[in-house]
Amino acid sequence: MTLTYDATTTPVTVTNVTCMTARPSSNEIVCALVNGSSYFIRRYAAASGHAQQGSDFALPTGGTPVVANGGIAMITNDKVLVLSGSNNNGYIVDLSTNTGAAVASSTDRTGYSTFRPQQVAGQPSAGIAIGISLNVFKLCRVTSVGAATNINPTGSGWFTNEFFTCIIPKGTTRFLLGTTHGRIIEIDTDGVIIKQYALPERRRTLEHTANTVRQITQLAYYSDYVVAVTHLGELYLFDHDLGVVLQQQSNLCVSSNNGSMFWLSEANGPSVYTAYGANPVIQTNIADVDMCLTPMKFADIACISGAIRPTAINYCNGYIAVSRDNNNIYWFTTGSPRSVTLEPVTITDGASGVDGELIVVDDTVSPPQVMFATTVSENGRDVPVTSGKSSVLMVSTYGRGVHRNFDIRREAT
Amino acid sequence: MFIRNKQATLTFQNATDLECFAQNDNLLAVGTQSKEIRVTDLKTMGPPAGLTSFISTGAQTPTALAFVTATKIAVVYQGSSTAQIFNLSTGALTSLSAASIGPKYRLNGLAANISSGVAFHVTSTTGNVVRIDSTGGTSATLSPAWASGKVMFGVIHKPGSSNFLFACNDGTIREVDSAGTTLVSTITARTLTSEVGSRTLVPETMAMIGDNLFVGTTQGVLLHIKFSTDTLLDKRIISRPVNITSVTTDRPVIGLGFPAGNLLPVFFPQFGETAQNIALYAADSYPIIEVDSLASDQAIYVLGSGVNQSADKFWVSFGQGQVSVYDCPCQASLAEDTRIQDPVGLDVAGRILRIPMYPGMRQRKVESDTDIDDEETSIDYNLDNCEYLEVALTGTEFSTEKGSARIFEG
Repeated sequence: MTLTYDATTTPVTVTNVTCMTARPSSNEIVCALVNGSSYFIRRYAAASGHAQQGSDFALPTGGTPVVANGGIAMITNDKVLVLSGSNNNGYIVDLSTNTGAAVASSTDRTGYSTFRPQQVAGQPSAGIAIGISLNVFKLCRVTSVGAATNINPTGSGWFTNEFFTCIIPKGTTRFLLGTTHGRIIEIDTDGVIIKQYALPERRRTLEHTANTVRQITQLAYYSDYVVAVTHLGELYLFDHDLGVVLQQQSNLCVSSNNGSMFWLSEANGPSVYTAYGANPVIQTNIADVDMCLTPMKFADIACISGAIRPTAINYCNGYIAVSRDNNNIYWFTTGSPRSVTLEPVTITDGASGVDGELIVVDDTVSPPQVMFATTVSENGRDVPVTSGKSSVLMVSTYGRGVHRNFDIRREAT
Repeated sequence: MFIRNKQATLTFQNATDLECFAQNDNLLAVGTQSKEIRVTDLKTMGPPAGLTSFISTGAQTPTALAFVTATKIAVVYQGSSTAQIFNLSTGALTSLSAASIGPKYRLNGLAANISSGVAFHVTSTTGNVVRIDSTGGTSATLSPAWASGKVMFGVIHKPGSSNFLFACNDGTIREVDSAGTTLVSTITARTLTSEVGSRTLVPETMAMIGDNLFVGTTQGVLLHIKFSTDTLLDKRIISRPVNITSVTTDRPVIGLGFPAGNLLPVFFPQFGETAQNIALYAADSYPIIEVDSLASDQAIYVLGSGVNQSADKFWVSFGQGQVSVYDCPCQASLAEDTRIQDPVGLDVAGRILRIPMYPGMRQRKVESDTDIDDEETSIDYNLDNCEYLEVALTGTEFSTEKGSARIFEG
């Protein structure tokens, strides 16, 4: 998609944005804002004009102050959960009635670090949100009525000093977690571990054999593919079914423990990728990355002056909202979301599905182009198909070594 | 893995930063802050046979090197307007006529055409470039019309031609003849949309493999351009933006090393705050494929890197007076026999597709598509360090078409 600065609107002057999330059901961007020591919630239309929606909701400043820099997520279509980064307080604001209530006390939801993205994630259809903690193996599960439960998923082989660093929703009932030790974990809404796998070994020069432990700073999920970025500037695309790396890219500059790049993805929408630099930052680049191409392709790149907070960028309804510390929100349009048709593919040996690899080639053009390549688990996977071709060549391989098998077929599209 | 088995660490006089590098055939020349130039044969990891391998540059630190012939290296010094020629055959260091002062830290600050002995370097003066004629032993500052109003951040020789490419601060890349005066073609500036209008991507480093031009910009965006048609094939964010203004004080944002075969080293020449990554790209593919990488977990510079096809080596300098050398098989053209039989024993004509199996399934491309007759046929392939998937097709689409496949070890 082509990124275009939305110059039809004057940048909206607000106080500083600490974090923002999307409210897709209403095509809104929901922001947590700070004005001195006061925090409040404000919504803007993810539509032409970007008018403010409703009134500001002021978060309580006395008794149980909510320092709204720990993360924000929709917990239902109408309720937004905002967490403090500097204490264990949380607040749920009902955007339909502009009322709010504190979350019950909890000791495990401070987030791994303030102003980090993906410190809390919601599953609006389930009315559940989960925030990560500064305590080892600890998470905080919050329901839409404000109940809070500490949960502590643990798995074999985890390090005693391993923390969760980020969390995103997967589908409508699951979450994906990243850790300080390069682990990717899928859990259900009760914190039960469904699956886990880890980053591959980092290839270092022999002169410099220091730390190889890499924090996963952000995750993205789409159609059983996971993108993980690390604090040492690596980007990995995983087959989530099989937990294997499909593609890797190294970001060259590695500038801070907050991550040298960050990534934000909306299912079947744009993926926003920026390289995050040390001060002084003359500009921040923002990209739309198409995860469905082989390899992933930067569909377009835009930029904004200065540095942005990785918590203060989001996407909704064809608009990317970006804020930096100069009190403005800037908007970029992404055009129409990519139209991707997914087709289930299973590689079979006899009647049974098998793990294998699939390469789809458009050999009607010269030179022939690989349209899509992927691993496929025994349960099959959805692969993007492109119409308008008279045919494509589908090459499947499975097995190893002398037992490698091939299946070649031509498919109409 | 493409980068394998570390072969040697070349250690220079002291643990200061190395300044500049040049590569030709199997020779690697290094200019150091110890005010010397050292030449190493990457095949033997020792001094080149029959040639001078070391010379002191006196009071000056070399800041850019380029082979102008197989045995002569042009040398430029920051703060000095006099370039020199280091003759490896005689050991002589000869001064050229004075021109504008040379660049510092510029990975593409000096470039030569080894066939003609002509070289150019960039300089800080707006509108100027410096032409070196190593055969005539002269250097001269030029102010050609095409350069008017521009500062050139880098220059490379255009492979297979006598021309040079200049990266200009107006965003364009100018192809110029060997005299430096005639503009042959222009690669247009690329822009990004922003809140203050279009922002021009400023090129500063370049590498060219075949018709593929790779451009590192000060904004941290790498461009892949099909040169002959000025078509943008790919662009991606691989670094952070840095405000680059000077060719004598600023290090580039994206370092493009010496390429070979289809392999291009890419690195970050600025000081890394936590660690450093260096990537090896398959340069004949788009979107770009990263086929291998190395990392350092120290906050240091990557000063230079290259793939050496003659010696099948990859080298990288992370500073500290050292260059690390690894095996990296990278022949550009190998051959593998193939045939199609249907049934077994009966050769038939058909079509052969070859797909290199780069690490990572989402990194696939069709390298070749060849029609063969009903006999054993030799087909070239590019990588001897990679499995290949070979697909054979016979017949006509949907009706009589048959397919088969095999894997062979490249």
